[in-house]
Amino acid sequence: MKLVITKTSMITSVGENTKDCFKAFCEGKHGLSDLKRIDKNHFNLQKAYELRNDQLINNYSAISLLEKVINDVVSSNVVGFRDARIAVIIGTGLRETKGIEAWATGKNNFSLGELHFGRVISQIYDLQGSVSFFTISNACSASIYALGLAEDLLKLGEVDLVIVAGVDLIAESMFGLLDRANPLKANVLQPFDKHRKGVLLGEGAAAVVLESENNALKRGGRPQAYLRGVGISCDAHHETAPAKAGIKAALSNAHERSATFPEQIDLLFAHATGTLLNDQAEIESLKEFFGNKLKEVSITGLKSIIGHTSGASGLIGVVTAIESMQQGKVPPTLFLETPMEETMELNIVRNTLQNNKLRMSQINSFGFGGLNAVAIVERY
Amino acid sequence: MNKFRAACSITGVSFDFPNEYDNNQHIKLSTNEFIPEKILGKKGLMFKDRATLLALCAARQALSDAGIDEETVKGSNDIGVVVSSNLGNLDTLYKVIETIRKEHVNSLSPMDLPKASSNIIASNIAIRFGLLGPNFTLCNGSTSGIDAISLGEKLIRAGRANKMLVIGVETKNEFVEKLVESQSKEWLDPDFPYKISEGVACVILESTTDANERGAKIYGAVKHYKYNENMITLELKENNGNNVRWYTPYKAFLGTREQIQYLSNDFGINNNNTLDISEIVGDLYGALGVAQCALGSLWLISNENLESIFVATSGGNWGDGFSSIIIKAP
Repeated sequence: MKLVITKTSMITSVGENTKDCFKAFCEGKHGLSDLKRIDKNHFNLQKAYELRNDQLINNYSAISLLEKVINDVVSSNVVGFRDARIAVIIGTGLRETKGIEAWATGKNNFSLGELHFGRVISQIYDLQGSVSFFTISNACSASIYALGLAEDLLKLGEVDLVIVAGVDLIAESMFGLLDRANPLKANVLQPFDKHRKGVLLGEGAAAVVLESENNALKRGGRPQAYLRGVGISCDAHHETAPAKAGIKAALSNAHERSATFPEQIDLLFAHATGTLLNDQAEIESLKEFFGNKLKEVSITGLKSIIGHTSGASGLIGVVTAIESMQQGKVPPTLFLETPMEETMELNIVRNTLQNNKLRMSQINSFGFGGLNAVAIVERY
Repeated sequence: MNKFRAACSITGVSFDFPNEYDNNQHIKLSTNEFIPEKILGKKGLMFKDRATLLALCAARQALSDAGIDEETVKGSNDIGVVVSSNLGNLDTLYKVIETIRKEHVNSLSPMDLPKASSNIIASNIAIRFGLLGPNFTLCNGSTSGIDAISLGEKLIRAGRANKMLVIGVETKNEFVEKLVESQSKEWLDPDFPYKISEGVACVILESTTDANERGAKIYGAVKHYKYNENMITLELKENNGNNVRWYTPYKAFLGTREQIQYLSNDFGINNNNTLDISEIVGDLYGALGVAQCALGSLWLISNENLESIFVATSGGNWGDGFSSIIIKAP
């Protein structure tokens, strides 16, 4: 069964939808700014990649953001939805933690039913009658884990169509603990830079519609890309530090499930959080898995543009990869001044790249708890 | 690793509802205080939150119940974990946010960093037992436990694993009680003796072929699963009336006993064979579905009737939908 993505949506600190975000990415814009909705006086870190206030309906609600991206993929794509068996799978690192925090500090009302997203999403008109809702809280690889589950549900014939989404706002608890745990106090996120100082969080959401190619064509959907496959693994090694063996297991699982070889990959969206350990482990794992073939791959790090959008980051990578393959353009890795020695022979994209021959992309996403997920998508 | 599998069975169960007491014939509750060191030993427990400790204990006991040697599973990439928990790490989040609000991030303990991520429980189980397979944390409200079993079953059938540890766990603390209290006022009859409870349950799912090959004890086979927005009925394709038991959602969210009876009749369940675990131990929220399946598995095996079926339904809390799953005697 060939799976296709028929519709995409994303919101990041530099844009409101797929088209605007991708344009901003390729123009070298970024969303780094002074803290907006976090009280600076209680933190050492003073910068993040927050959404603008006018991008949010409610400052403390990831749900409103999620509704926006899901509505975006549903409303313009509704033909054949009513009779379809639909699953909605949402990947998130921090769920509605920002809402809980606002409630705990008396800033906002909060309902327990909002801690997960199914109830609210089930009320979206065009999704009524859908079969299942999953809120998967799998740290920073949540939305690619969600994509993997979507692949399984479709291949098992359980559903006709899956809406996969990823969403995260910056929770002060996570932002504060990352601040506390890192003595280097980054003021910019610099993937692959020798002098990188660590991660800065961002906010965003993405959604895609995934279905079999047959289903899409039958109902008049327009395939944008093939999802070749998703590989997943768990390091079972450390609560926060990465492990190369686990990363390589996910890479290998992704290619096995996709029936692809590393040399087929043209474009790679690295997880690239700009932390000392993660970037090192990722590059070394890629080199060991790809061998010399890695030199042929264009590699970019989106987090330099939009920050680390936690559970949403992987799916934002998938949506961006599809745009890159369709438009023949690759967004640059910003703020890269002194590349890590390990990347010297590699093709890290530092200025927006034009290439109309991009056919196959790989998206890496790794999270706390050693959760690794890797997706491979192909131009339709 | 990519081989699709036809069927999936339950081969191990465990549960603990610390500090809850009951004489019901089907539920033996722990009457002792929860002491993780007794089950896990002293090593490596420092800085773990309570939900993680409960889950680690339940995992160890379920593996033992399934006759699986812990040493043989270490490093297996075909054994995975699904944890269902909504409230598991809220104690940490509350503590952290209070410290930031009153002081500064410099007063935080960096040891709390991993616990700020909801997947801390599942990742600790993977680390402790060396499980390299799929590792999911489901935070799906009150249907979450049933959804987690269904998710585990699908991962096995899709060839991503041949065994999955499915764990439901919720903890109770001052913050959780405060949050729940604010909800109760909005949703429940003020006279209803609602209580949120603490508990953990673990169910081991295994590909039926593999379970048979290793001669495992099989409690039951996972059959149908359904999520429903407004109703809880699931078509009982193999219903034979007398041998069906229904583990119901918490009646606090379901209505009167008459309504439950009405729904049972709809299911075709005779003899009023329904059991509301929450009425006895309190609301287990995201852990309920797994607890229902653990207890239902014990009922199936004690029943010694090859035609027996149980249906477990969770949901309805604070406006949630309902999920049901059917497990059939092997």
